[in-house]
Amino acid sequence: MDNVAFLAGAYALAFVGIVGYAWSLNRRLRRARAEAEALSEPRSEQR
Amino acid sequence: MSSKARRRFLWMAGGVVVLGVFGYFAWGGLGKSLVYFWTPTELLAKGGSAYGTAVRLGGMVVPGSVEWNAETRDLRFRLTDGDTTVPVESRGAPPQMFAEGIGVVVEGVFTPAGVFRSHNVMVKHSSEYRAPEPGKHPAEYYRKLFRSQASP
Amino acid sequence: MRAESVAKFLGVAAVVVLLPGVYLGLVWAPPDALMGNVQRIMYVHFPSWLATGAGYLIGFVASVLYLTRREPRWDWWAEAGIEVGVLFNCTGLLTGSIWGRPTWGVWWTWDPRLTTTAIMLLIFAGYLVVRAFVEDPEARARVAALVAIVGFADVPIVYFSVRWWRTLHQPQSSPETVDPEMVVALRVMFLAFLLLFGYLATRRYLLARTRWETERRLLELEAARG
Repeated sequence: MDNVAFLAGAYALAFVGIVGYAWSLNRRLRRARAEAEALSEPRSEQR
Repeated sequence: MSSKARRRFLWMAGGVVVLGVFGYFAWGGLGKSLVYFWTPTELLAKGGSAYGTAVRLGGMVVPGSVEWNAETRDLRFRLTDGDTTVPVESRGAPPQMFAEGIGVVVEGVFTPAGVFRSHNVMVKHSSEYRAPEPGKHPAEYYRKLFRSQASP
Repeated sequence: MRAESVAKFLGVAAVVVLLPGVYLGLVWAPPDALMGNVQRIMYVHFPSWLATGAGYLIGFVASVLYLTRREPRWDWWAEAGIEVGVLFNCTGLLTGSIWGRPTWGVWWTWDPRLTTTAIMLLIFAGYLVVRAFVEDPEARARVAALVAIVGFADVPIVYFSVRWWRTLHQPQSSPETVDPEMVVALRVMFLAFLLLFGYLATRRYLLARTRWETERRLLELEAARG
């Protein structure tokens, strides 16, 4: 064994972390935009 | 003080604090108290006061000094900083990278017998990264020392 | 939406550079003579720290700009840079720890480099916590900027720690101490991680901007009702 398990583990953890963050960022952005949308719509109806 | 002058003063004070902390670390004082390991020379210079306290000792493994007993799992080697050499005793197999001539940091206590009894051997790697030479398997370099002795 | 298309471009470019980068690092470049294949962790470890440094530097500069100009966009950039910096700080620590176990023999040790790095993570994670606890947007931006500016003092200390003090961690490498083929793979990965950082930070900036606009709208509505 040449410690390949350590190598694979390091890459897996790093990229799972980065992709996981990108994914959650996507979700947060979508929610924030939906919220902003919801906030502007009722106001335009009131007018 | 007007709010503008006050703000400028705060900025300058902040800058002085940051530079001060930085300079303190860079040129002095704290360097001494942030010693991660002692060298054998420093350890012996402490004389009797070094006995029994948990310290880290760093240096190079003297080539030809490594003795590994696979049955009792005792490891002995000599650690040098070039000027002073201290014998080290440890239990259990060292890290795979451990080899003669490599840098190590050992954690443990210095005994009155003049032997450093270590409970943890750590290998200090250099900042060099080189391709293996042709014809030699990379793992061979660090395994050859223990392959014959450590495997059951 | 300008930032939106910049983010899209950076994201695509990051993937385009990352794929050959990972190939160069994992397959094309030689293993290390002493460490063998574990040493390939270097291709995610070094770039992680580059992205961490980029994030905290943006956090620092944007915080200074916010305090001097009081424009909310600098607060958005500071938050974005630091949050993404914290992500790469974590991947840097994790990959370093996984490399340390087979190489040093320990997952972690309290040497000056590792200690100052852990403090750095705590400072900037603290920055994010502070943001979550201050209600008023302007007070939040102000307090956070102060934390970022003072906390940034630790970043150069982390960098120089391996030169000032005795550490288990090795000092910085340079192209002279690294095999030329490894340098090529490293450079590609550096670029890939910078692009990746740019993508994430720009998206995070957009999130900060959207949230700030919502927050302001809510305050307006409240004021109109009250």
